[in-house]
Amino acid sequence: MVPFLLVAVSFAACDASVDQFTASAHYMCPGQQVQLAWHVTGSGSMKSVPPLASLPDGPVDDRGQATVVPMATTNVELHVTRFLGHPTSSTQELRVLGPSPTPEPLTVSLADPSSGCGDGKAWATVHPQHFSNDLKVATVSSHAGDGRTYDVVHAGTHAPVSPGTTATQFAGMPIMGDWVLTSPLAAGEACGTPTLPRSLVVDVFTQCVPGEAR
Amino acid sequence: MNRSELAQNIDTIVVVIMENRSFDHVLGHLRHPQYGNRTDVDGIEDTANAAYVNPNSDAVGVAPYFMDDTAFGSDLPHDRPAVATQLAYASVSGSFLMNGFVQAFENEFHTSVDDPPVMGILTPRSLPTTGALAAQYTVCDRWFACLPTSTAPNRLMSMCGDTNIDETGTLLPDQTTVYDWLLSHGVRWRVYAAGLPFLTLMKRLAPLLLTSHFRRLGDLKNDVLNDPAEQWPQVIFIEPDYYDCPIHLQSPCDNHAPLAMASGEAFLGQVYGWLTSNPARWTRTALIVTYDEHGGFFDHVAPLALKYRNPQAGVSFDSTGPRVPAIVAGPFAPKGVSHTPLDNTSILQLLAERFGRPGETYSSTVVGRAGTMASVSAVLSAPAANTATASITTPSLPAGAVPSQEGNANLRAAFGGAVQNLVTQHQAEALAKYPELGNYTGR
Repeated sequence: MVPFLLVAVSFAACDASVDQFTASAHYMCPGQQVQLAWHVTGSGSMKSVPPLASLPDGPVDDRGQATVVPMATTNVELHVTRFLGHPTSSTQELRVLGPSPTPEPLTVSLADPSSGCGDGKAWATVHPQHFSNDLKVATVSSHAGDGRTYDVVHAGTHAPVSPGTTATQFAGMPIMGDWVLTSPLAAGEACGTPTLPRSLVVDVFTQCVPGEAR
Repeated sequence: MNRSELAQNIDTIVVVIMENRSFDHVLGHLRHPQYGNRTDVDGIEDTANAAYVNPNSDAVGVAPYFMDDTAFGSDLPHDRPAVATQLAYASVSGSFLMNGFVQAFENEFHTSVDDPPVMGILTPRSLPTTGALAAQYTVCDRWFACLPTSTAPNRLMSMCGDTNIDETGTLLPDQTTVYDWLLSHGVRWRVYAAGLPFLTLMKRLAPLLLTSHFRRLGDLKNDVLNDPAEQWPQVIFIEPDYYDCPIHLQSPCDNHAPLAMASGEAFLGQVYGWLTSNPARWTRTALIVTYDEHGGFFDHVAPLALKYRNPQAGVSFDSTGPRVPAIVAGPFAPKGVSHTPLDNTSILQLLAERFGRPGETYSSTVVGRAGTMASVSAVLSAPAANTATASITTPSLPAGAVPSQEGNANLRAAFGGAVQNLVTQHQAEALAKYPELGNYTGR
């Protein structure tokens, strides 16, 4: 029985795996260079939808990197197979945004270590990741379905955001960098109780600014 | 129902425990204006509700979205650390925020997409059986996974009322099961299994597995019609063919991702059809359909702060897991919704109330949960007022190949070891009962 057991366990250990798959940007302007990096256990192959000229579909090394220049939103799929093991896959969606302002709900959970509550307010810091540098803020407004008011601080600028209003003070600033969101507690909300909101969120409308260096 | 009413009205309790879906993923749509607008159900009224937003690793909020049933690229994260991430306990509010589901998914799969499967909410067209049962009987929208962890500990809680492990490993530890309880109380019981029963993984149960207590699912069709009263079971466990088991007696149908739910819906529809094919028996039956745990899918309701302590085994939890889909069906299950807090140990307490000695509880652990968790008897009411049956149109069970996507490696290995144990120690009986085991090659 022991040899059989070992065989069964070792088969499970033969499963393919994606140990790392990253993209330097997930939100970008058309023509922005993006660095992909991967590390797989097994035989990897890449497929892009729509196809990327700089990354032909097909087999890839178990460790590798590539630079791609998507002109439209693209899903880059990394498929891995392994002899006697189950296959697996991962996907990096490269979201290419257009010239029209596009809302991205920047969100931080109150479970985040940056969160706090006191003096009638709750706060936390949003740390956006993987936005390309040439993607800029157009406006900031309330997230649909969120009735809260916020005091928003980003890149040294400060603005109130409340339902029905649009903040233009951050126009032209990069998305990356900390966004400190502070929200007054509403009636019935109290620190240290489940009455607090679960997350703080504002919609940041992003915009590709023509002529920005790639 | 009180004990007296249970004894007077219920002859048979049927239990089906499926795998790895959350309440919102399967039944959350019932609350939405587009899919029934059932204001009595605590589901997803508005996918844009800011309270449901889960930040991804880039700090962009992801909302739940409606999806069709589909197979996934892989299993979804639901081991103990991943569930802790999903529940997102916040010290500033002293509560679980239920907004770490996307983060847990991205952590495990190195995947960044706008529509991660963990946030998908199924719609009625994907749920021909579950939808029909939910419309006809009692939807339980406060039924929680026993523990915030993976399959094996939750299955042990369901079938033993205790667990000596806190994570899915290989073979299950030997524990006292509900089968022992039923045997010791002289209760007639059977397991009808579409594949190998889950407790094949408990080595000491191998001889029991080969008795007539354990039957193939297909036997139910004839038994429900023709078994004499003195043989018809008082308690029936019906088990799907588990995706993570490397041997399939038919085709996986447990709803465990990456499996789609179509085969599980067909399985449930077939079971319901057989059970209702004998109206005389159905009028004295309670059918419970539930799940072992949430499988990594989003649910918006925080788990209950119910501590579980097993100091002998070193197992400790401070809450339940997320909600799971649960429906209580039968003539004694009123059409509507129950908000009564329940988990799978509530089934064990129901068995004790119906088949135990006067005043007997199932176990000290199970009754210890009673301050928070009710018995399923709280959902049932007499007299029988829900005598209509649900009209279900489901496809026949698919005979397709087993999906090749990744399942749970530990469980696959464990089932493999358990099968080998069964075959080597009880070869003649095992192969007579399950000829398919003779073809098992370890994969």
